[in-house]
Amino acid sequence: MASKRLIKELDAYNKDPSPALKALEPKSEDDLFHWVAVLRGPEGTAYEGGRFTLTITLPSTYPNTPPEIRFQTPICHPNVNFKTGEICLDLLKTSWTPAYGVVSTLEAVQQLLSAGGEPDSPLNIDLARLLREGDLVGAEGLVRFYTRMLAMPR
Amino acid sequence: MAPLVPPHTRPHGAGDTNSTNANNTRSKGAQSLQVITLSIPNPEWQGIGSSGDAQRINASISFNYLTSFDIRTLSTVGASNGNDVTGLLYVPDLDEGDPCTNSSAQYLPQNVTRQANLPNQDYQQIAIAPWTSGDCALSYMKAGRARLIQGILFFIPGNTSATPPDESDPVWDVNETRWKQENGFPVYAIPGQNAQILLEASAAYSGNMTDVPFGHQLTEYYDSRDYVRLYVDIDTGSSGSTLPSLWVFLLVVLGILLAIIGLTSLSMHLLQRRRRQNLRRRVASGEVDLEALGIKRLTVPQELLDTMPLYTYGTGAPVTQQSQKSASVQEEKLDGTKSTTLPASPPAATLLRSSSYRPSPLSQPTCAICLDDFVAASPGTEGTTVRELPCHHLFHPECCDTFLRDSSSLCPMCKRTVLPKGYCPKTITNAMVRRERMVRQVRERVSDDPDAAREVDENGLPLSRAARIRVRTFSGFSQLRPGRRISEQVSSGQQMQQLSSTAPIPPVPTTADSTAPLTQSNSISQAPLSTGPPPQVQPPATASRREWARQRAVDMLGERAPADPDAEETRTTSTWRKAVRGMFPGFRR
Repeated sequence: MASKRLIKELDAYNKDPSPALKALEPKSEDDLFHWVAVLRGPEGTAYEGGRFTLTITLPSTYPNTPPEIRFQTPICHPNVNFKTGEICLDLLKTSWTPAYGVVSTLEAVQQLLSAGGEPDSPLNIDLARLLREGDLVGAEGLVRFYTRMLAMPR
Repeated sequence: MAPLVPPHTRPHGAGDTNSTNANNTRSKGAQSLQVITLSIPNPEWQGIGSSGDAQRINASISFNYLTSFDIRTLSTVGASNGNDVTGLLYVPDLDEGDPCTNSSAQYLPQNVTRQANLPNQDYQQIAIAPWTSGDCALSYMKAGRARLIQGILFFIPGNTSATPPDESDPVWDVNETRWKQENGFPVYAIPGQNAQILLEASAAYSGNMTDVPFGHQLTEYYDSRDYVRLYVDIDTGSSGSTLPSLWVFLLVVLGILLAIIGLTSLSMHLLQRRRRQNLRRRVASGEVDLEALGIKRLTVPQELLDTMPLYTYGTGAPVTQQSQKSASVQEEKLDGTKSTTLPASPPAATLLRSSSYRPSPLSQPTCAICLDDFVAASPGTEGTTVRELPCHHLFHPECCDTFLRDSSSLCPMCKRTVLPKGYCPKTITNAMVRRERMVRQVRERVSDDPDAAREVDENGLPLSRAARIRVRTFSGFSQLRPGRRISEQVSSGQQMQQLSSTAPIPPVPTTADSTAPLTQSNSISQAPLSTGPPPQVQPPATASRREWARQRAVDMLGERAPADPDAEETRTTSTWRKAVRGMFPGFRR
C-alpha cells in the first residue's frame, strides 16, 4: 500500500507543484522510500531566499506511521537540530494522521520556519534562548546570517 | 508428652535465676539444676483463703539449692533447648514385689517425698532414684513413665561429689537398647552427694506445713493446709545460647521493618487499585476524556471497528462482515435494486445499526489514507466497500482499520474520536492515574486563579512563561513582514479546504465540531451520484492559502497529542526507581 500511495503523491506533486518546494523526488529511480526535497525559505522571514535540502525516509508502514524528515542543509531554527537536522514537530511524531502527505508535511515544515518555532521544546538551544529572552532582533540576525551562509546559492 | 499442668505452676523468678548461669554450650544437656521450695495450694481445700497459685517460698525460710557443673546428661529425649525441665521432686513407687524396692531402700530416706505426698493434681513431676543396676533403673523409669514425669534424676549411691561418669560408661549399661526412646523423657545423673542433699530435703518437705523446716513461720504467710514441696528446674541451655541476643534483636527489628514495608506496599497497592477503578468509573461516565486530556493515546479494538457500518459506496447498502466475504450475489442484487430506487432512502434490507442510521454517500470521493478514489456502484460495476466512521468520514475498511487499531483512535480526517462516549480501555495503568491526577490538579489550580485561567491552552494546561513569549514571538515575526497579514476571516468552511485535490488535509481539531456537521449538510445537499469532486475541494487563493497554512502550523505547534504515558515512563525512569515504584505505586505522588 505504501508504494502505491507514494506514487500517487509524487504524481500529484508533479501535476501541481507546491510553491513551498523547489524540488521533490526520490533519491534514486528504484527506491521509492527515500526522497529528497528542496524547501524554499518562506518569504518575508529571515529564511527568505534560502534553499534547504531535506531528506525524507518513508517507513514501510507509511502512511500509518509518519515519514522521517531531516534537514540536510544546516538551518538555524529553535526546533531543528543544527547538526543532525532533526525536526521537532509533533506532526512528525504523535499527531500524525494518514491524511497528511509528504507534500503537506513539508509545507508544515515550511510553516514551522515562518511561525518562528516554539522555544519551549528547543533543539537549537542558543536560538531558543535568544527568543525566550525576547531578543527578536538578535534571533532574526542570527537566522539571517546562517541562511545566507549555508542555504543561499552563491 | 502433653503438659498436664496449669501454666502458673512454674514459680516466678526461677527462670531469671537460670538465665544468669546459662553458658554457651550448644548441647541439650543439663546446664544447671536448681531446687526451690514451693507452697502449693491444697486442691481439697481450695477456695477459702487460698490464692490458688503455687508460690515460691522465700529462700531464707526454705530449702534452696543450685548446682551447675556436675550434672551428666544420659538422655535428651523429650528435652529441648530453651525449655527447662521442671517439676515437683519425688521418688517413684515401684511395683509391688519389685526386688529393686528393697535394694534401693537403703539409699532413700524413710519419709522421702513419694507420689502420695504430692498434691492430688496433675502437676509436672521430676523423679529421683538411685542407679543400683540397669534393671532397677528401668523399673524406676517405667514407674515414672506411668506418672508422665518430665524427667528423671539418677544418682550412683555413695557419698561422692564427683561428676557421674560419661554416658558411654559401662555403669549406665541397660539390658535394653531402646529405653531412651521408649521413656520419652530426659534422663540425668547427679553426684551421690548432691543426691543425698536433695533426698534429705525431700524427706524434710514431704509432710504437712507445720512439719517442714520453719513450718511455723510459714504458716504465718501461707495457708497451713498447703503443700510445701521441692521443685526442680533443670536448665537445658536457653535458646539464647544458640542465638546470641543481639542477633535476636536485629532479627526482630528487621522483621518489624519488613512488616512495615510490606504493609505500606500493600496499602499503596490497594490505594492505587482504588484510584484505577475510580478513574475507570469516571472515564466510563464520560467525566474524563483520556485522549482529550492528553493522558493516553487510545486505539480502537477490532470488535469496535466491526460495529462501525460498512456499505457499498454510492448505494448506502449495508455490508455485513459475513456477506462481504460470501455473498457477492446478494451484493449485485442490492445494486440492482438500488439503481432503480436510488436517492438517499436506505434500502429495505436489514441495516447494520438502528433505523435512524443514514449513510451519507458520496460525501467524499477519495480514501484519505490510500488516496484511491472510491468507485460508486452502478449497473455493471461493483461499488467499493467503505467504512463510515461516526464522524461520517469514509475509508476503505482495510485502510482505516489498521490505522485505528494500531496507531490512533482519531479520525484521520477530522481528528474526532471514533470511540463511543464513555469508552474505557481494558487496562488502566498507574501511569495513567498519575497523569490524570496531575492534569486535574493543574485544572483546579487554574480555576482557583482567574488570571491564569485566561491563559490556558487546549489541553487544559496553563501556558508557561515561554509559551506566552512564543505567542509574542509570532506577532513579532509577522510584524517583520509588512503586507502579509491578511484574511482573519478565514471561515471554518475555508479551513476545511484541501491543499490539493488528492491529498486532503484534515481540518484543525479545534474546528472539528463545526466542520463535521458541515460535511453532513454538504453531503445531503449534494446529488448523490455526481462523480465530480465535491465543492469544498477547491484550493484557496494563493494568498490566503499561505495564511491558512500558517495558522495550521501554529495550531499544530500548540497541539500536544497524547503519548503513551507508560512507554514514556519506561523510557525516562531508571531501574531502581521502577523497582521502588513497583513496590510503592504512587510513590512520587
